[in-house]
Amino acid sequence: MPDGPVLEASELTKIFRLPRTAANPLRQQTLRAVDGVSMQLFAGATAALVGQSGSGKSTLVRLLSQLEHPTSGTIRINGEEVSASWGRSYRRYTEQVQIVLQDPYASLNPGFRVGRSVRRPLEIHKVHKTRAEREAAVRQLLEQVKLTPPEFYASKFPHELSGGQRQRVAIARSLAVNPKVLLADEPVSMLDVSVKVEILRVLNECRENLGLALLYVTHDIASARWCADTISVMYAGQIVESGPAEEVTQRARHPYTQLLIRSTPDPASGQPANGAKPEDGVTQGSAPETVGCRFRANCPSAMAKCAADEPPVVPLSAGQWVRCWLYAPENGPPAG
Amino acid sequence: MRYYARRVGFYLLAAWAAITINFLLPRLMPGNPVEVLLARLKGHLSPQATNALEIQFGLAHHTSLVHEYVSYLNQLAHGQLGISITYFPTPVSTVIGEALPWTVFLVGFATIISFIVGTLLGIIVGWKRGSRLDVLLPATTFLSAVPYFWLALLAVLLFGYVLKWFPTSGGFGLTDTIGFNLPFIESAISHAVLPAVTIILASIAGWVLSMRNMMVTVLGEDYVALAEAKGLPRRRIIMTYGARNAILPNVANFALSLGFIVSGAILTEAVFAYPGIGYLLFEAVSNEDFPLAQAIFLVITIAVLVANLLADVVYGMLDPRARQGEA
Amino acid sequence: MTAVFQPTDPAQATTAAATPAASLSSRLWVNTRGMLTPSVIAGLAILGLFVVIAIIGPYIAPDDPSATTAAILQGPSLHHLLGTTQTGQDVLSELLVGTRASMLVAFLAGAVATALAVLIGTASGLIGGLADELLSVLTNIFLVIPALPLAIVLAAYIPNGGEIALVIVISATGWSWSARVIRVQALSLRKRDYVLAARASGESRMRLIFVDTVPDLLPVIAIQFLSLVLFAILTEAGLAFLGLGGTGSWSWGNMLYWASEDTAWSQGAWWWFVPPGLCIALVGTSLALINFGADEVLNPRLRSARIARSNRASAAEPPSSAAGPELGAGPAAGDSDADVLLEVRNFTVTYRTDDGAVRAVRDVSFDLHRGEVLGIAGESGCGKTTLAYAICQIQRPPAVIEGGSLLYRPRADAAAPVDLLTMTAEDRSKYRWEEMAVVFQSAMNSLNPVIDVQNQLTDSLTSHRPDWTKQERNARAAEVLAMVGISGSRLHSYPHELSGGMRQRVAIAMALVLEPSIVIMDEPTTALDVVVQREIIEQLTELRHALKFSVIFITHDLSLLFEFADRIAVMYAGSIVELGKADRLYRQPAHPYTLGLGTCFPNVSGPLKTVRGIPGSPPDLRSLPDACPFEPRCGYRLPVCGTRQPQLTFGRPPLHDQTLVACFLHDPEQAASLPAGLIPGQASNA
Repeated sequence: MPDGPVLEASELTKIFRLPRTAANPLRQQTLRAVDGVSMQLFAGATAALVGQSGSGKSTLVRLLSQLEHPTSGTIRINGEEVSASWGRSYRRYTEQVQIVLQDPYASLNPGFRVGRSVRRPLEIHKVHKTRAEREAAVRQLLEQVKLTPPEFYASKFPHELSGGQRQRVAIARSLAVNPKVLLADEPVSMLDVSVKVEILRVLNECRENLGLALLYVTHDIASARWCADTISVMYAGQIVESGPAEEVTQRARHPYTQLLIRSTPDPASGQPANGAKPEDGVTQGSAPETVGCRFRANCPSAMAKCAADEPPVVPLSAGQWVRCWLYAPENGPPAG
Repeated sequence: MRYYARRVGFYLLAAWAAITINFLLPRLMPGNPVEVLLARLKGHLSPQATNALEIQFGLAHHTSLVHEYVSYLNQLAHGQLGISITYFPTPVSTVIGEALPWTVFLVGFATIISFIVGTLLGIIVGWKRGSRLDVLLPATTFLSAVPYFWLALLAVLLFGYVLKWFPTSGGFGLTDTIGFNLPFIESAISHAVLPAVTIILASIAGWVLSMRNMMVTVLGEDYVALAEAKGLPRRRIIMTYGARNAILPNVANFALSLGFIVSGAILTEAVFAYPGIGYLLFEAVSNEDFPLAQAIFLVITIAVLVANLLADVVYGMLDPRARQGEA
Repeated sequence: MTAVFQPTDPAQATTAAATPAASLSSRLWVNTRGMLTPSVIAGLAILGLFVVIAIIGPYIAPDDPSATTAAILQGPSLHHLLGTTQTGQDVLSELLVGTRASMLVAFLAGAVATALAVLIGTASGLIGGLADELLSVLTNIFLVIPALPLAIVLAAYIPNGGEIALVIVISATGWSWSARVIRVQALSLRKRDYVLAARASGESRMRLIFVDTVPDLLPVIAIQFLSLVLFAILTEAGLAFLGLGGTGSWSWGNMLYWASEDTAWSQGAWWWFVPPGLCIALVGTSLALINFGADEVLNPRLRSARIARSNRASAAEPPSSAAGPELGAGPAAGDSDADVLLEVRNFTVTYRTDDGAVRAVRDVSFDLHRGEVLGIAGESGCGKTTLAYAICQIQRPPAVIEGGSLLYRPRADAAAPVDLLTMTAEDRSKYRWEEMAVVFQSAMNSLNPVIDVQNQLTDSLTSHRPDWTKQERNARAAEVLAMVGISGSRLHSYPHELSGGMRQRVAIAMALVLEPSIVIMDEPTTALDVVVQREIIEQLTELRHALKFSVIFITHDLSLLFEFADRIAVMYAGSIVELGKADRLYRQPAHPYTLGLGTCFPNVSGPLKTVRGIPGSPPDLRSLPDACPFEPRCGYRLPVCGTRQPQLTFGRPPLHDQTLVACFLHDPEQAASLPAGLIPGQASNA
């Protein structure tokens, strides 16, 4: 296996056209849902993508899975540029890159038994020749996600299973074609607290056993710290900070990352510090015309420069980097 | 404003579509019966009127379709709808003009009563969901499936023939002079009672059932639970929180309902020989009076479109989300 | 006639009534048995009867319907069961023979119109883009053009076209509503997650449409087919009645046409026109009944209204007095009464469903103290939301308060507490909001979408402060809005114009308008981003210090409660399993479930703690055995745990004496042999 990234995204941008508004019917408004995002996923490693709703993380996942196509930017798999939407090239792509969706109550066809849902990718990609081989593979997949005995679960309809069990089925389905990359889009946010940990554990075990490159997308930075090697924090379509999980959570540099960590409930941390209180919280809607830093309106350390120019990407130690004027070399040594 | 502009735009489009359908119909139908008709009338018609009918029904062989279409629109714009065969040689516009007020009066009145009473009943049955009032539901369902004209026949039999309470035919007594005088108004009202009651009875069940179902749905919303928790008076919970939201789909789907009521009213008028548009259509169809029948279709369609526009205005007033151009 | 064509718009029904995730067909999959309600059975029976008559009618007809006899206009007799017509034809024979023609045209036209609607609706919904826009404009135009007048004009051009012409005319004018419904459904299907998931697994486009999508449309298509059959049967009758039905053949509409032509009513010949009309109405009713049954499946609230009906008799009387044991003898009897604001005792709430009773809240007792934040933590389905609704007494059918008492002590010195369950309706509406207010999870759903913020803030003032002027009320509205950090310019906004965080602030402001002593909050921040959640929690803390109200804060997020609550009750499977001071629950959880929950939340700061989670999943409340409900998932279980349910009692020392726990580990009789070091909550202090 090469040492380079399995999946590499460079400068991905996705611009959506918004419905014309009553106030301004003639102007076509656009939304930069994803704005120049670069990202690398490595075999056997978990990368977490942390962001709040509206930050563009789900759009990014759809771009990476080629369910949607970027306005600009490229996606490379094993160093080879790919762009596919239907047909054989897309099918080849889905052999490499699989996705687990957020809502296990919606992502399984209610009319198909579990066995059929898991078997179907095997048929599409002609992984096995005989029916018996496929059945054996389904059994093995269900065991892999700890749905035992597999025969029992294979004959169930989704509505007969709990949320956690359904999410395991979805994971088993995505693993059927032996993908290299697994994109998990908020895989536990709809599940009960006591079940979440188990599902994350299953995902991590599969990553380890199969050498998967796992992208864990979440709004919960605490769970990202627990189960990922690296964390990228997304705000308004851009990644504002990225680095090893412990560095990003324990030595957060970007004011937004700091705010996120301060806001996360954590009984161990004692009394939380008071953050800024804008009227409507931290707005996530990225204004299309914004020049400069997206976060500056909510940032306690905003400077004149933040409004004038796009903040630079500043590399820090240990593979961590931050997109913020506070750490730009001309501002002197980092203050954090 | 944008919401209203969009709606007006749509209705203009729909009106244009109806006019175009009207124009194309005789041209698409196999064996144009109007040709026979025209031959029969030869000599009784002025060349001008013949030409107009030829354009209307696609019999002017020497002209192109586009040219005919433009001439047709031009005729329409001048209010020329052709000449009625049934009431030869009265122009169709005159015939319809005499019948229209009767229908507007009858159907308008019956629809408003039925909508108001039906909606109120629906609110009550919905609010008291699970109570004894629910036994009304199967009866209402039956009523909603009864053809208007059959109800009309029953009404004629019972109130006209057996009980002899009301006149069963026409819009006014033969001896009355049409005008603003007491005997005429009295007679007109007594003639309208049976048709109106028929239309109200046949259409009310629809409003009751749909309002009841929407009420039950809306009453399950959190904001209604919250209104209860607020200790608001029951009246306000029912009306402002429940009915105000439950009525929205009924207003939004008014077009469809009105279409059915108007259709039912046409048949009802036919049974009672009520001198409105519906009876006129019945006569036109019986006498193969195509100019009249087609014009009536057009007039009914436009009337329904106007009523829909009014319903949309009401909807806009009821729902702030629609006003702001989400729809 | 209108009813059948005004089903709740499927889009509205699904967004309004059901969990957003559950798809149409998943509900039908689950409910195929539940669909057979009495009304559906009746509908199917009537329809079946007419189908049978349509098939055998011509063979069992006693006479040739066209044969004229001298016996004209005779009433029903043994010879002619339904009498004869003007020309001496046998009415019963006409009816029997006519059934076939009427049903044939109705079902054929229904099928053709459905096919048309499916074609246009699915093309529109699944292809999308410009095709969708054009097709939906076309559909909407046909929707506003009244169907019957168009059908009449069309039919007039083909006077002798027979049944085929009727089928064409009826289906050409009737398809539009169904096309719209199917389009909406197809549109939502295209965006459904499992279609997306199938695509992401490399499924071909054709299979996506025909295997993954279309089957889910079938229930909708079936319902539309029934609606269109009804439309066809009524339209056919109408056209035939006007003489446009091809007068040569026999159908119900034609019978009515001849009866009307020969003025049957003026001769009192009711037997001539009553039977065919009745047949039309009966077939129509049967179709409508089946459709209503389907509506009930698609819109669960309609169902629960029906269930509420069957339960009403038993649930009418207030449950309190008989059910609970003697008051004050509850587990928290050690508290001084003066400190207790609300006393909940042996509170039980049951959902009475078709599948039997589900006890969602079982025998819950706790006290709310003056000025405290009592957290209630639990996973989905543990009964915490049901509890919140029931305490406010706004539970929705089929939920019923089965027993228990809610005692409220408005003032510390008041002699007798007020029982909220047995108070008169008049007293209750005075007490509501004045003393106890509530904030729900989804502010979007808890605000009335059609009235503005100011009106929703002031309407409780209007009923509770009748002597206030309008100015005073509006001023108070602006004041509470300012308290939650929203400017007065938002008073005239509608809920949809506010962001999620702002809506939740408005909901909190609404709760504070009358300065109640209790505010119940059901997951008030769950739907919000964590940054907004933090802001709202901080704001709540400030407001609570300023206004001194007590809070019952319900959430699944135990880690949030550790920070925010004074005391915490942990719920599992409808019961409280542990109740005690927040910091004690954090440091020293006594119940194995609390212990497990504490290990489900990774920490973001400080050294990374062990995250363990709890194996298994919560039990099904419909089939709870008489045992500790946590027993199957518990790592500490004793033999006794599987045999009966533990009671909520004081934990044994060294647990603080106000800690209550429902676990046999803390029952000296059961766990005497266990060393303290093995018992949760005991180890750290041992």
